Amino acid sequence: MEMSILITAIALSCTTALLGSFLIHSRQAMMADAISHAVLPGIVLAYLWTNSRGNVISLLGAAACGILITMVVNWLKTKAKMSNDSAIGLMYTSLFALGVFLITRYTQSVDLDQECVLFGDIAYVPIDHWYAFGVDMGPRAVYISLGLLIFVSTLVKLGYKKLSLFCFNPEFAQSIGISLSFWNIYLLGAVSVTTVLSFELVGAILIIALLILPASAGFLLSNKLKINIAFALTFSCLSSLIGYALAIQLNLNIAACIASIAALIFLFSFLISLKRKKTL
Amino acid sequence: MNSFVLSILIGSALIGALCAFVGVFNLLLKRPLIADSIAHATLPGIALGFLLFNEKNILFLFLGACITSMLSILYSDWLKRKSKLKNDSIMAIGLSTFFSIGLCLVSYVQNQNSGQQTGLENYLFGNASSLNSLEIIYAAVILSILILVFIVFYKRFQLVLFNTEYAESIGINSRFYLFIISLFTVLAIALSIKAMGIVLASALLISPALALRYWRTNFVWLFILASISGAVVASFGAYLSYAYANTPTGSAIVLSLFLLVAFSVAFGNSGGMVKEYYQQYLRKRNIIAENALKSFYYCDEIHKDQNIIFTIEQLQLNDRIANEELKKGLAILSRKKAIIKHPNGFQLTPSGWEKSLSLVRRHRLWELYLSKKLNLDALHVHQDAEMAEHLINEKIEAELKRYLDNPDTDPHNQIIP
Repeated sequence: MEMSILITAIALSCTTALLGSFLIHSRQAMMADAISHAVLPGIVLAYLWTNSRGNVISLLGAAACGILITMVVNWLKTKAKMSNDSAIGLMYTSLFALGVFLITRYTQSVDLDQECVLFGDIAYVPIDHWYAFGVDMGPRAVYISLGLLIFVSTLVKLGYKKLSLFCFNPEFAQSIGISLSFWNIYLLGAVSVTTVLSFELVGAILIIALLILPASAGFLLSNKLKINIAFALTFSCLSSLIGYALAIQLNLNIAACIASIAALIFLFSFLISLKRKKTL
Repeated sequence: MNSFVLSILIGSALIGALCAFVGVFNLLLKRPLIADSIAHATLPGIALGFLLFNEKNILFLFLGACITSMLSILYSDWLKRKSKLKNDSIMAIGLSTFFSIGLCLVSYVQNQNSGQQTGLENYLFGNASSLNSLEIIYAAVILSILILVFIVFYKRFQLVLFNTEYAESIGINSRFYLFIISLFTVLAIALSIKAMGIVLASALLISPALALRYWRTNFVWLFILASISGAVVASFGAYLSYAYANTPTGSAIVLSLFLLVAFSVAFGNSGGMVKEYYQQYLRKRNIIAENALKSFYYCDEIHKDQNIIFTIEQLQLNDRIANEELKKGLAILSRKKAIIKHPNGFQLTPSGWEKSLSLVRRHRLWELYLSKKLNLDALHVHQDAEMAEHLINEKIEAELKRYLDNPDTDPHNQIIP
């Protein structure tokens, strides 16, 4: 049993659950999917440029890639009159293709390969240590994920009122002078940063599972945002614990197991919500 | 070119055409991202097929992919009908559920055959060279069945796609046709996975149809042209990845598709940006010229003579029109021979005079219409008429005159010329 993996998984999935609750209310689940794919070329370029992984500053550059795609999609929607879904489908596949192309063509190292893009390598968390001033501080990913959790919780705490207005009643929010585009970037920027930092741990597609599944499960069980978030956080902790245990037992990929458990929990809460509807 | 390369090119072309064809259906149904969802849902089926049978048995892998992606469609439909979740969440849920279960299975497979290449990599990232002759035959058969179905039923598809209510009312079972579309979408994607890779497969469905949206076509040609461009781009991408080492097929195809869409968005003759901007530019120019022409009329109204030569200062009429715009307008007008430039100013030609008359007539007719028929206050009608005068054509002008009983004056008691 490796505590560091578990702590990392729980911190990451709580971060994503928090953001996911806002994403599904503002109908941007697929936009998050697009972002998680679009950051790949940014990550590869940052890697090629600095020749190392996990350099926080260069990774912030990669996060800018995620914000860029939301802007390009917006531009295509307004200027080229493309539908939202078509624009997302076009841009995320193209950027992901660019990323895969760069990886296979220009990175000869084992550090960053195609497998890692899909699976992530959360299993290697205990190996990769952080040395500050020559002192071994323990696994680096633990610090990154806890830092990310604190950062995102602070963002959500600070902007809670306006974010929820932005999600639930954008017309009203606009009428009282809340800038929709600012809060859109605020939310998607946080998603983007989270995606980049968790990319190497859980891979591109499982981030979506962690963003959307616990949050949707919470959404089905209550109509109140605060309760949604509470449910989502509980579910993501649960799926991290059970998923990790299962992965160790059966010797499977940890991130994939956590996401599968999250999918199962979602299915259960859907069935519960169905039953509740019947009894009402 | 040897027969190996030829078979890869033909295989990619067939798959490209097939995907682009079903992609048009899905774009017209306004659900392009369903391709993404379906593609991700093939993974558990492929992994299961691999576990239960083995790599060599392509039929079982293909069937496995079809079955799990069909399941994901049913799951999404169920969620859509029974939950309050929004469409985009449902799409993301279906996609991530099936993909994570698939990845679990893949990691299980990889543990079983540790150290060996399992062949599953091809499905994850795509490699056209791994297409074998059986898959190419599948693609050819499915494509020909699809074309046959389309030829026989295309009128019905057209009705279902564009006017579902009407189609239902004349007894067409639209759910059946939608099911046919979903079925072929699944088949096309399940075949394309091996060449394109799971994540990128959806581009082959979305992009050709999306590119064709910017060109003027009709219903049948839309399908034909999309399939042709899908086929050409897919085999071009496959060739690139064959010719240059370390170039994944999926990436090469998707990046070529991106160029195709970008070209169409820029230069397409129906909604392409260059054409749109050119037309906008022409409209703007026209408005500037017409505004300049109007100031001649206003000056004439004061001086009661259409042959006077006016200076720019006179034409500016208490700053009614900006100096820059007036100069631009005058330049355009003299090129159009609506005015003549003299050393000391500008003079209207007979045709320019006619044109300026009609502009002011339209302006004042519109003002009168707004105040008389729509009961707007006379103080507020000028701004609206400033816009309308450029848009009203002869037919509308005649109609307005008739409707207002050939009036003589506008709401500000000025003469309607």
